[in-house]
Amino acid sequence: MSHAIRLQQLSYRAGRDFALRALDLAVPSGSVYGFLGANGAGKTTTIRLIMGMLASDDGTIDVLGHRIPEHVVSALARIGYVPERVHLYPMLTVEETLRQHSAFYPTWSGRDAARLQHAFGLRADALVGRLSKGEAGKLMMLLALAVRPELLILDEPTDGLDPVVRRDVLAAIIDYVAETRATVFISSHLVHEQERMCDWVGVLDAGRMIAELPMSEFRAGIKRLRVRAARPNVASLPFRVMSRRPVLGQEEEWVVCDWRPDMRAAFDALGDDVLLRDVEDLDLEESFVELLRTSRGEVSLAAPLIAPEAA
Amino acid sequence: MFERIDPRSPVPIYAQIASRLRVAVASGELQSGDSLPSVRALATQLRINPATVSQAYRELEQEGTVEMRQGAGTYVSSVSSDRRRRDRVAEARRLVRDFLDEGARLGISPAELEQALDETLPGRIA
Amino acid sequence: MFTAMLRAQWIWSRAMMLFFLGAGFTIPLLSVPLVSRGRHTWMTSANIVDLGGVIGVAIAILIAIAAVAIEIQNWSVDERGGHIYTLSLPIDRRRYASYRLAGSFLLITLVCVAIAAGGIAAGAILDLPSTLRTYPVALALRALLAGWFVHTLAFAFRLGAWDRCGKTLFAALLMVAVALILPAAWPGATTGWLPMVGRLLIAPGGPLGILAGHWSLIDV
Repeated sequence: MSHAIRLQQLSYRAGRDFALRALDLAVPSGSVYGFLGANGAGKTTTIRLIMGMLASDDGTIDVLGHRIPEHVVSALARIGYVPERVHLYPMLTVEETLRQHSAFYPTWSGRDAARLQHAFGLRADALVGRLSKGEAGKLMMLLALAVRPELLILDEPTDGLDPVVRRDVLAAIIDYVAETRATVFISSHLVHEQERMCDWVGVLDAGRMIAELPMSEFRAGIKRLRVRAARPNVASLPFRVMSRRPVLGQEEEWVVCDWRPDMRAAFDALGDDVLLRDVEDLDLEESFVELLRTSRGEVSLAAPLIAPEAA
Repeated sequence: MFERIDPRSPVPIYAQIASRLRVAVASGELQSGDSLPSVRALATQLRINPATVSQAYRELEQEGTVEMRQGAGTYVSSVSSDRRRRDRVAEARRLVRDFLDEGARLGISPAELEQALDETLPGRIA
Repeated sequence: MFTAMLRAQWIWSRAMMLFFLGAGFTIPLLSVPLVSRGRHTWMTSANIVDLGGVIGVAIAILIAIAAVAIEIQNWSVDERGGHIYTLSLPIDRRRYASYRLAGSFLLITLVCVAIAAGGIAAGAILDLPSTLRTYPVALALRALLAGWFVHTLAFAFRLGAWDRCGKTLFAALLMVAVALILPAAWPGATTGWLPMVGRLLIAPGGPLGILAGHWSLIDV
């Protein structure tokens, strides 16, 4: 499988408190990849490394087959980028901005730009510095799409936008992807948005990748089990218990990953003391929260309950 | 038509779309020869990954519910009335299963559900 | 790409440029009423040369301010977006920097063209003693070189780290200002070390020497 973005053992240190540690990340070509992580997890830093705006301390970065930072210009010519904050020249009008931007991209499509400008309702003579947050967001998306990129890198593209604008922006991305099969790399902490669009998920926490897998596996593998447990300790199980908390009486809620339906059988072997009452599906946000909790060791209080027998 | 598509549901989105279209064909809401929205249009409308829509259409094509004509779009195939009846029955069974599962989750017995159904139905039918 | 960058630069500098162009054209012309009014009453040729020198200094100051202002304007535009926009464009950074420099040179050249035009116009109107003549093109050329030089200096310092280079530049400019202003405002204060350093900087052959010396529109 070819990769639009591939990071291997990427390390970057900024100050004493923040570092990306041996980051491995692979975005399959043609995928819509949701890059999830809490605020401050290092998503923007990772993106800036991918874009060659920062220099890594160690590891390799390949974007669309170009090694970064050596061949960053060739890579950037094929990337549409929307940063987390407005970065455009405030004293130019919308029209002047389009003209200035187009000069840098041989692939620029004036037709797409005009169509999106109309769809987004952006006035040509409006000053960029006077645009509302929503309008500026749309303009940045327009610029990214009108270069007809092979890779879209979107850093919190809808953060702070109202629901109407958000819909317009997402629809524009999807329309473009449906037409061109471009790869999309979207960083966001707004998990619900990713749930609809993404077919790959990567989760970053405190500078480490804690998960990277197809969305279907992510969704199918993380479940909440309702268990009636008479015994405090459970023998080693074929899946990983991420968290475990008591609900009512002897009822407990387990959040597990690497779950497969045939694993119900594992409970039969445990006899009557541990009964599996129900298997519930989690949505992406719940899965994401559980994953972060586990990675941060917040479940350590519950951990003694699930110590495997061997330990 | 796709108002009820729920990305947070455990049922994958492509399966929800396929199931919705299958029911629409079975109930006669969609007739043989009707065209379905293009992958691009439906994906944009629902703000979902275009690949998801393609997957739903492919599944429907494999079971013969729709026909994908190269470059011309996707059309509802002629589905026999027998097959449509079977699809409706299958959908009805699925609904009842969901209904029973939900009851079980809340601790309501099938007998109680049945009684409630018997009491409610006459009013609905009339 | 260069034209696109230049167009954008023109848009955000045009108000400022109109002022510099106006000033560049007007300053040489100021000599006309002064010279023609004084000519028949009290002015000697030496007085007129001195007046030309004053106008020359005004031009030196104008071009230095224009060069630095164009630089600051350029930089602050990129700085406001954290340079993210620039860095996301598919253009080699050195090429981007040289295009920016070239764009600014062009704007400075425009100011110097205005100075030359003003000087030529003044020369055409002025009724000078036969021993004196005007040197509008030479003056404008000198302004051009000085402007380019000051701008390059400011640009180089900004391109490098502000911490080290910027402070050095700031200190140097401050000393020049002190050296220029102090002796004029307070003739007795020319012995201090600051004016000394300042004068060293702008002495002929000093690093900022191009700004000092004679800036004469009218000379023998």
